[in-house]
Amino acid sequence: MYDIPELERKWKRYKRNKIKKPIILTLSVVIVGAGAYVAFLKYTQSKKEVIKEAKNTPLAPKKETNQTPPPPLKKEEKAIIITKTPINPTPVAPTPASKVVKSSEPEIDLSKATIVKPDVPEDEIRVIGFDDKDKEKKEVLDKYKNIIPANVPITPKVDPIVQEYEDRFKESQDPQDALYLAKYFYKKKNYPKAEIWAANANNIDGEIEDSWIIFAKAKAKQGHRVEAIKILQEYYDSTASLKAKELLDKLRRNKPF
Amino acid sequence: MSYFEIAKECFVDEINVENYIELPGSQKAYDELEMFLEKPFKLILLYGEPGTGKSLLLSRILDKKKYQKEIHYLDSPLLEEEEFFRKLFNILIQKPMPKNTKVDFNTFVEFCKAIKGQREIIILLDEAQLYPKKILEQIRILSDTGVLKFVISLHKTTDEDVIAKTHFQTRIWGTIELKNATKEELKTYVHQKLLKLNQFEIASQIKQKHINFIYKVTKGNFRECSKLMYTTFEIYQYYEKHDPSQFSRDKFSQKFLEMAAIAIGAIDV
Repeated sequence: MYDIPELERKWKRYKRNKIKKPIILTLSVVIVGAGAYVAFLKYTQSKKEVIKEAKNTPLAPKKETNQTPPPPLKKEEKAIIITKTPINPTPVAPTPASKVVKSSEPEIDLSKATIVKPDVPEDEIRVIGFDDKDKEKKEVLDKYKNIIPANVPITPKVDPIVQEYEDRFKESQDPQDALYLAKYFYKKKNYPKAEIWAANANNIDGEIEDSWIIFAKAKAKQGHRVEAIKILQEYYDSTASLKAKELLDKLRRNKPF
Repeated sequence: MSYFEIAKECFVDEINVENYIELPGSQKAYDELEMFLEKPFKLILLYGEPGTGKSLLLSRILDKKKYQKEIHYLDSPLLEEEEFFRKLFNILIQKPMPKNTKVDFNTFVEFCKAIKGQREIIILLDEAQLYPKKILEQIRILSDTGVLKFVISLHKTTDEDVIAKTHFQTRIWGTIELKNATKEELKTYVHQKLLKLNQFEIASQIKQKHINFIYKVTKGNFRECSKLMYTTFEIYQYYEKHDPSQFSRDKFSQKFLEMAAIAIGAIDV
């Protein structure tokens, strides 16, 4: 015969444990659930902030310059380079890229421009204009459209916010979304993706300065500094973008950017 | 005898054909064994976990066939060769082996060959996993004569599988596996056991939730189930004597069932 009082004590312990288990389990579930909820709240809050920030930040501000707008030029003038000191201009052969002209566009020969190789630091040089500036710019942009594949693959899922932008971009084809993604990936040091998204933005709207800057920066970060300088130079030549100029200088002098 | 004393007796662990409960699983095994015995198979392997009813099945077939066939049941293993030969002599010659007599194994083999076609002897060998390898080898040789047909019952473990494979692999023709009961079978088993001794009242108090618990802790093993029920009624007896207020006579006690499970080690505390 068993020791029944002892058996009863064991049974009471068994019952306590039996009750304890679901309580512990329930508490664990509640704690984990609460933790997950808090994390979710934080996540959604941060997501909202990022979106808000992204909306408030002008992603591609129009070309801004501290310089005084160049004075209106006569149509016959090709280009004038103003230097602090009078110099004897030395004609420079135009780059091959500048000769690339789309068949549908009227031919523009950059060699006709009065380009002066100054003896002063490049900082002191200011491009003040072209006689057919818009056409020239278009030519440069069109050239890189041919280099960059039009249907760049959409990046795989990375982050819910990024995903949201990617999805939105698929629908809207908004270059600002592409620029946001380019900036995002550049910040994350994912330079190949930054390049792709900047290219996407450029393909849709070639006048967004930031997207060209990001494009060139991403290229340079991937070790294609010469190519980045070349692209940027051409963009600068067609737009006289100060930002492009600054970056160009840094790239040329191999300075951090 | 007390109310619970009778209920307890229902679950005494003994091989008693009278107390056999016909369940779908065990009936299927019985039918298979009966069919195999009718065929010219030399060796039939009966295996399963302890407490699945192997011994009871052998007892039942012996009980059913003893007037139709020459059938012998060796319920406990014969560990010594001499003891085995003595038993074999008794079976083959149908009289006890004289004292101070020794029989060479080859003589048994020759004898079996001599009576081939005249007699067909069935030997039910329980707990075969306990037999020494040498005797198992002799059993194999004897079965080859075609006169002796062995039903070898052993536990289903790795070691026993090795024994079976080593000695009998090529000769085993019929294989029967006995399994633990299903929940429904266990319910029938518990109720039928109580009804055999007219414990209708207690049987009706054992509900599905009790069966679920019994099944959970015993995994459907008949021996474990009997042990659990026996201990439960032992606990009932204790409280009936010392503190009857601890239980109701109208309701089967889940508490006592759980206490019994703790007592037999079916659940850890």
